[in-house]
Amino acid sequence: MSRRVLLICCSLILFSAVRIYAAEDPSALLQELEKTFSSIRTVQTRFRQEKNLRIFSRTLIMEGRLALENPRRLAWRIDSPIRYALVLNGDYAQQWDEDSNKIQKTKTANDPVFKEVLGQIEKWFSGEFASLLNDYDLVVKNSQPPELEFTPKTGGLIGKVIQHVTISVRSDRAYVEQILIEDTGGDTTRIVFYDTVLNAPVSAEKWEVVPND
Amino acid sequence: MTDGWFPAFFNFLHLRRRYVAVAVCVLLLFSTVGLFFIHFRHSMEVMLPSGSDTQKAISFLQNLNFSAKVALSFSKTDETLDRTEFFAAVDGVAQSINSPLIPKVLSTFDTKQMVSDIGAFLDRAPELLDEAELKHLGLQITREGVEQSLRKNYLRLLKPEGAFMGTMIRRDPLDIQMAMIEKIRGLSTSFGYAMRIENNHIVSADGKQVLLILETTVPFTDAKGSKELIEYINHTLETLPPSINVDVICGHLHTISNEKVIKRDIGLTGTITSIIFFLVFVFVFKDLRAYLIVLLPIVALLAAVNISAILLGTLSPMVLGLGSVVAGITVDYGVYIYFAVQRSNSALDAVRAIFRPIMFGTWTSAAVFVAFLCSSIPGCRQLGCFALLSVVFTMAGTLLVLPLYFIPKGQRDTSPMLKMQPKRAGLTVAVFAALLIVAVLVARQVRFNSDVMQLDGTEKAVLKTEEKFQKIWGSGGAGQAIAVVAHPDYETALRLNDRVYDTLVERLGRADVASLSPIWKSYSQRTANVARWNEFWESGHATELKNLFQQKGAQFGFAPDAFDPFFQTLEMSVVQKNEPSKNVVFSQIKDRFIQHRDGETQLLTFFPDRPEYIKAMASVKDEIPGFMLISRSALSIALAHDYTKEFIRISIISLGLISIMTVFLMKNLRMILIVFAPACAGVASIAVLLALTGSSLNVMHLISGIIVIGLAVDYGHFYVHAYMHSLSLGTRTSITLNAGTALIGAGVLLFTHHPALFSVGLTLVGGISAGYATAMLVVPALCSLFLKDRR
Repeated sequence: MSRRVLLICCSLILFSAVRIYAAEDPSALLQELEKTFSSIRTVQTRFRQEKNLRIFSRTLIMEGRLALENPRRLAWRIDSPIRYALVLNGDYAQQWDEDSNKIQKTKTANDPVFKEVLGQIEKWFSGEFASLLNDYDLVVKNSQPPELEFTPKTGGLIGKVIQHVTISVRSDRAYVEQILIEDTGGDTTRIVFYDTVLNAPVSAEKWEVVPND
Repeated sequence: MTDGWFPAFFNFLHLRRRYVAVAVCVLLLFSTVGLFFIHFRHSMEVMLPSGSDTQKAISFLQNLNFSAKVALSFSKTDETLDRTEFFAAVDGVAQSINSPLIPKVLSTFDTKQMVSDIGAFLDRAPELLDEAELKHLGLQITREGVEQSLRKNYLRLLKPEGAFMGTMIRRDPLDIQMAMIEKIRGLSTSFGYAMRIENNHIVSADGKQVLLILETTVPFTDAKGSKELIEYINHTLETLPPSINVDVICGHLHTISNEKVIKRDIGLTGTITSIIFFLVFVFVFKDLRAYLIVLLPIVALLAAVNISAILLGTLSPMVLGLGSVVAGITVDYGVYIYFAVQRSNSALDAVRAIFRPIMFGTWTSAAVFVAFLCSSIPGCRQLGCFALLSVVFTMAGTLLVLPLYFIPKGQRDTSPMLKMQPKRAGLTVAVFAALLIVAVLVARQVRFNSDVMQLDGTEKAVLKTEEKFQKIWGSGGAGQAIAVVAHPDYETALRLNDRVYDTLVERLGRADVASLSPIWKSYSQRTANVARWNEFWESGHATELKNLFQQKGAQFGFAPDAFDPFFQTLEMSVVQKNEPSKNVVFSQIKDRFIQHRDGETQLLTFFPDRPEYIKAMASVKDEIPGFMLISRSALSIALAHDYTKEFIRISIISLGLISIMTVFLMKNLRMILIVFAPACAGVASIAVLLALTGSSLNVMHLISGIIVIGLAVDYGHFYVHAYMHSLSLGTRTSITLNAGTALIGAGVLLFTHHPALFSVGLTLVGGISAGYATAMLVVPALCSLFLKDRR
């Protein structure tokens, strides 16, 4: 009986603690994170992406690299299972894959869907979390290390595709550690960033859509 | 006639000169006041043959280009101005607009809404996929085709956007819905404008300008409404900070500008004409009464303009601008009567002596303007009406009013002898013939320019702003031909549009055709498409595709049930009757492709304006009811053809009437040919003048060319009449003064800014000068060589 009481008490204490975290003003946390992230000029990082999609019979694992330079310059490369690159430079996006070995140049303004998707990704990677609040409701799942769960607002377009996006920030709050995307169909995509280097100059070849290596 | 009731009536008026003067003054007063009540309508359409295909096409294009919309292009003049503040200022203008003249303001675009709206079309793919597209889909259901689709989808899932695409790819592995997005995107780019959406605003490609579109209830041809609209817009824009500049683009500015230019030109020509006439009359006539000669055509012109406006309902300011020319023509009669009275012992004697040539002059001018009245060009009819009335009123005034106030002096004619030595006459005629031949050769280089827009007198500042706007925002598909179908019933119009689209695709290919049909078809066509779609999948294609997906999908790691959501959608395709009326993307596309005019729905299809395409589509007119093909390049040729036909008709009627009168009055072929010599020279000189100045012949040149014929025939006739009757009534002086006054009337047009008036001025000055020179030098020579005077 005493064990059960203890367990209930512990649970209540724990629950209260979680509630205190959840009740913490999310905008204050976002402001703090944005302040930290705004000092980031460049990001160079490796990532591992795990896709658990119902369309596939197994988990799809991809290894790749991301380079980001504010404002509006981004290079997203997949090294395996096949090589692919996306380089976003202002209003233009260039894509290349080893399968076709062709460069596809797109003006993002001409494709509202593509532009919207890229806009979302840019915001997640560059830490513009406050601007996400136009489209999402936020729940701070954990404040240290910060874990932010964004749920698309009801009635919006994003809600038709995405159920939640959970962004985990490194314990030093310097950059994103992991992004988990859960879509409405039950599929999940997890991107884990590692070997991250901040504010180091990005070499010119990183912006070449066709890799030199 | 001068021996019947005329002397008694003339004497009756002579005894009541004061009453006549009062009556003329009252007429002048009423006519002047009446000017303020005339409804002036500016439109280039006034110079197009009414009811013709070309008029319909140009009217259509004008309505399309200048449909009741006003574009405001905002730019920063101060680069330090924050972008957010810039957008806020534009929004401020949009929000402050509150006028019944502008019921709708398009200022922002919700991109998310746009994406959502596009998505609404995807489920309707079965309704919108036509037979050819379904056939193409069938070709994809092969081992190779399916493998290719799977590879493409696999790669797509690896991309960043792949995180959102799993569900979509499961529903649409063959990109059937994706093709719908491509169709909508293709239609958006076919608009021909370079723009993007930033912060929900329409921004130019370089991001420096922001666009605001106002929809107005004011048609651009409504001069009064245009002024009110522009005043309101300018007033609204006053609230903007000086760091923001706005370019206003609309057809209404053309109307205002043309009216401004015409008014300024009429004022200028009126002032210059008055001053020159004043000086001429001071130094030549040295008689205050001679001013009545100038006053008479003005009174006649004002009365004629008022009556024409009552008869025709409206007048074009451009046509009214030719008033000084008509005054220049009709002032001749007053000059003749003035000299005749001075050289006679009584006013009645003078009228009797000059009655015949005055009547001849009146009827030749009248014949020209009667021919204009028969024209199918409204502008020509307007000119014909007010000029004919003006000529008749001036003739009546010349015979019945002016002589009442001139004092007979019985002076002798001091003009040189009319007779010319045969040798000199022969040489003159030879030189004239040689010049005429050279002129004909030079004239062959002149080309006709049927572009009526060259007569648009819009000020350079307005045109420059439009040019700048086009550079920034694009020309909006100016190089495209348009296939139009029209029907009072909306569904029928959609059905006709589907037929046009299918025909165009069959003859020109899908890539070059921009139509509403790929994204919205008639209900009957959509019903047929859905039936075809269901039959396609039920006939075994669904099972075959499922098997292929399972066989080929394994190598990419696709699950056996990966595409089940797609196969589920195939089971329940039904047609939805209503169109997506609340869909903003659909509404905007509809705005471009559908117009409602005169109780009809017009559907437009755009394709490149290439001769081979126009040729390929020419026969469609007979195949599809209500079909109209509008090609700017073909239009130019058709318009040139219409004008040629029209002016040949006007020329034949006027020359026919002049010839009939000349034959009736002269009954002598030699005399008739001599009378026409100045007219030949006038026309030839116009052509030479155009060739020398590198100008092309336009519709206004043709109009003034016919006026030149009427005037020059008069000069020839006056000379021949005087020669044959050995009259000492100052013929050479009269012709000189007549040509001089006509040249003043026409010459002042060379100072105008409006291209239509300038064209008339140039033609008349060249034509009248040559006609006058021929009447003074060549006609005496021809008379001396070929006619025997009756002395």
